[in-house]
Amino acid sequence: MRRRTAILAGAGAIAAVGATQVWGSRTRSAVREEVRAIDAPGSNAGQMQVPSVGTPMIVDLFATWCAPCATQMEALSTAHANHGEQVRFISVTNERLGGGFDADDVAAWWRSHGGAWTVAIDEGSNVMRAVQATGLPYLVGFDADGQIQVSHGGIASVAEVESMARAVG
Amino acid sequence: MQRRALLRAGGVGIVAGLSGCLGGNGTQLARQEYATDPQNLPYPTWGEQVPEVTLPDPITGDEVETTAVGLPAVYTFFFSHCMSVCPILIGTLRNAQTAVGGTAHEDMVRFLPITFDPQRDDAARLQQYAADMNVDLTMGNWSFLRPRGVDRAKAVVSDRFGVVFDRTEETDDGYMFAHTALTLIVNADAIVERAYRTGSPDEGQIIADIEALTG
Repeated sequence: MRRRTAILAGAGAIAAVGATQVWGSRTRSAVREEVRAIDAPGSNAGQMQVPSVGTPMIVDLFATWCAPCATQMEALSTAHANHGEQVRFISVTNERLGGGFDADDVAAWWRSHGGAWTVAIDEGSNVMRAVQATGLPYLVGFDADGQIQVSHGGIASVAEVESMARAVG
Repeated sequence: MQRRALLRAGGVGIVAGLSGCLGGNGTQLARQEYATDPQNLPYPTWGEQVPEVTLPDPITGDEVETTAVGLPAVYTFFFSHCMSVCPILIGTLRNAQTAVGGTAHEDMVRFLPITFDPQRDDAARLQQYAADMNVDLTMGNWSFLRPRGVDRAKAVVSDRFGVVFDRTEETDDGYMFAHTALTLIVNADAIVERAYRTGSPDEGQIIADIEALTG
């Protein structure tokens, strides 16, 4: 190690504003991860695949400690009410259960923030790593072929979430 | 930092002897490859001693000497008001803590996140932050370390560990920092085994590193 001042990796290191990325039509997603849905409002316990081929999907990566993720729930709720029949919504946390934190804690957070769709645990952060999310919240839109069409880092507005839903649905 | 051989005394040396040194430089894991000559990197890399500093854990009042931990340790650098990178880094360490919890590795590793915002990250704040992030302080393997003052934070975090941070403009949540991200895996002999300079470190890899170092 040389003692010297390192150059900061840009302001992106603290990017807090949302940004949408439209993936090229040739993008081929190799994402295929298994997550564990829990019992919570709108959600039934069970293993499931992300993405689920045959079903367009909006995946919301969140954590219960993440204040912006709580804020994100309002826009997601509106978009889910308007597009939930065409596009499957799923929220996924990478928080590992244990150490006094369990599925009931996730369900309680979910309930208090008005969640009404599938909520799942991704132990190992496999989805987050697969979609190269570097912060939370992070939204990914998969089309019915399981390909990523659009992603959004940071808080997305209702219009942005609905635009994502239209892009994949 | 100069690369130098370290003579370890007593029990620590015995531990190293039992676990074996892969590189002949005190390491146990295979060489980590870097995109550039590690001599030019601002942070400590594979085979180098962890910067030797002593920092207080404001919650317990303990003083932690980085070169005398005597167990493998995981370091990262953060401030608790951070909304973007830091909670991912702390969340990754928390997930690793949970993964080793209740296993033979639980008492064989220390998690040592160092704040570079000592003005706000006092004992009460860090205790609340631990609760918010679901860190289990009762496990006894986690210590938030807090340099005594802004100058000391610069001296330790920037100058010794090569993690630079610059205070930015005030926001509704107070001031923030632009900063680089670093997670270090250090062995029981205080030699760096892995340096992950990313805001989204691979949780599975970190757990595997810990398990490899804790036998």
